[in-house]
Amino acid sequence: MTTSKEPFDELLEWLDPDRDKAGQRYEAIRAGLIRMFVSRGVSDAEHYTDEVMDRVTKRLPEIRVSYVGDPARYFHGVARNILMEVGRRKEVVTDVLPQVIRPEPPQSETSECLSKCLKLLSRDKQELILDYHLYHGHEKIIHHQQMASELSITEGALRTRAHHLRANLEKCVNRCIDHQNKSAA
Amino acid sequence: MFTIAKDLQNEIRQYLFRQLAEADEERLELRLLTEPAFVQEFDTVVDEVTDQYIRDELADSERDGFEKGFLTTADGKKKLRFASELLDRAGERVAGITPSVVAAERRPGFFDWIPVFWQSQSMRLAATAAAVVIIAGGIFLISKSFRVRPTTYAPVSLSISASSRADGVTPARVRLESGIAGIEINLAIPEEERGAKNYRVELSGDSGERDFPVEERKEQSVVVKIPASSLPRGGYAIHLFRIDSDGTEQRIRGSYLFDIE
Repeated sequence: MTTSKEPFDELLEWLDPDRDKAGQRYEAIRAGLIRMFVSRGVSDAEHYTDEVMDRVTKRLPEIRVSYVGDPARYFHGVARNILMEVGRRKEVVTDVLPQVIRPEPPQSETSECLSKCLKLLSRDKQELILDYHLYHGHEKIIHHQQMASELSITEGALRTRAHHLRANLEKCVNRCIDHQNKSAA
Repeated sequence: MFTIAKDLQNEIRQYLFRQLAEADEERLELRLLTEPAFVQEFDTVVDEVTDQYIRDELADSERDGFEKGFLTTADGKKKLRFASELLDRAGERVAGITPSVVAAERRPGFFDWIPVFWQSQSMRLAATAAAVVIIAGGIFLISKSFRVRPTTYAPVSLSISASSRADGVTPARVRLESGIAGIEINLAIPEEERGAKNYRVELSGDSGERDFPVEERKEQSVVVKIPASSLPRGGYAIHLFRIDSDGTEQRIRGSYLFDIE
C-alpha cells in the first residue's frame, strides 16, 4: 500500500524532519513574511504570505531533491517575486483608477479599548507602560535610565519589558476593536 | 555589544525608511524569516519609529520613506492609531500637559530657582544684601514702565483630522501653565497638499476666526505661534489654506483640533 503525504506535511518535512521544529520554522517564516510585506507597503500582507506558502508548496515536488540550502531562502525568493508583481500591479492600477480612501475608524474606539485593556493589567504594569512612554528626545533617555535604575535592571531589559507589554496591550486593543466592530455589524 | 545593538537598530530603521541597499535589504529580510530574536528587535524598532513619527522627530526623508512603505498598509495605520492613543494616555499623566507639550516643558526660569536658592543660609545673607540693590533697580525699571513678558512658547504638534468633534474625534488637550507665552504649533501638512507656494493659517474659536502668520515653513509642516492672550479656555480648530503660485487659495480639507484647558 502506498501512502501519499499531504502537500502541507511534505512542506513541514522539508523544513525539518522533527515535526515540532518544522512547525516552529513554518511559523517563524510566516511571521517574517508578514512583517516584510507590511514594511514594503503591501496592505494585504497575510494574503500574500499565504500566496508564498501556496506557491512553495506547489513547487516542492520539483525542487525538493535538487534544492540546496536553507529553505527559508527559497520562501524569501518567492516573496521577492510577489513583491515585484504587486509593485507592477500597483503601477497599472494607479494609472487608471483614483486611489480609494477608506474612512478611518473613529479614534474614540481605540481610546475606549485602550482604557479597557489597561485595566486588565496589574497596577505595576500599567505604571510601567505609561511611564515608559512619557517623554521623548533627550528627556526620554534620562527617564529610561532612571526607570531602569529604580527597577534594578539594565536599560536594554527595560526596553524589552516595555516592548512585551506594549505588544500584548496592542493585541488586546485590536481584539477589542474587532469585537466591537462585530457587535456593531 | 552596545554598538552592535545600535548598528542593528539603525539598519532596521533604514529598512523601514526604505534607505537600505538591495543586498542589505535581502539579508535583513532573511533574518526576519529565520531569527525569532531578530523579529523581536524588529518589532521594537517599529514601535519606536512609529512613536517618533507621531512626535514629528523623523527627518523628512525618513518620514517620507515610512509613509510610502509601512504606513500605507492597514496594519501600519492601525499601529499608528494605537501608538498615538498610547502616547496621549501616557502624556495625561503629566499633570495638565498633553504629550506634545511634554516635550516642551518649560525650562526652569528665574522664579523657579528662588526656592532652591533660598534653602542655603549663606545665600540668604547674600540675597538680603543684594535685595537693596534689586529694589533700587526695580524702582528704576518700574519708572521706565518695564514689563517682563514671558517668552517661552510650548511646542505642540497637530495632525489634520478629516472628522469633526461631533464624529467623536478627541482633540489635543493643552493647558497653558503660567509663564508660558503661548503655543508654537507644528501643523503637519497632508501629503497630497505639500508643495504649495504658501499657506495661510486661520484659528477658529468661540470668538470667531483670526489669521496667524506662518513662522516657519518646512517640507511637511508649517509652524505658527499663537500667544496665550489669544487662547482663552475653550475648543479651537485651525484651518489651513494652500496658496498656489497663481495666487488661488484653497482650504485644505479637515481641521487641526485642540482644546485649551
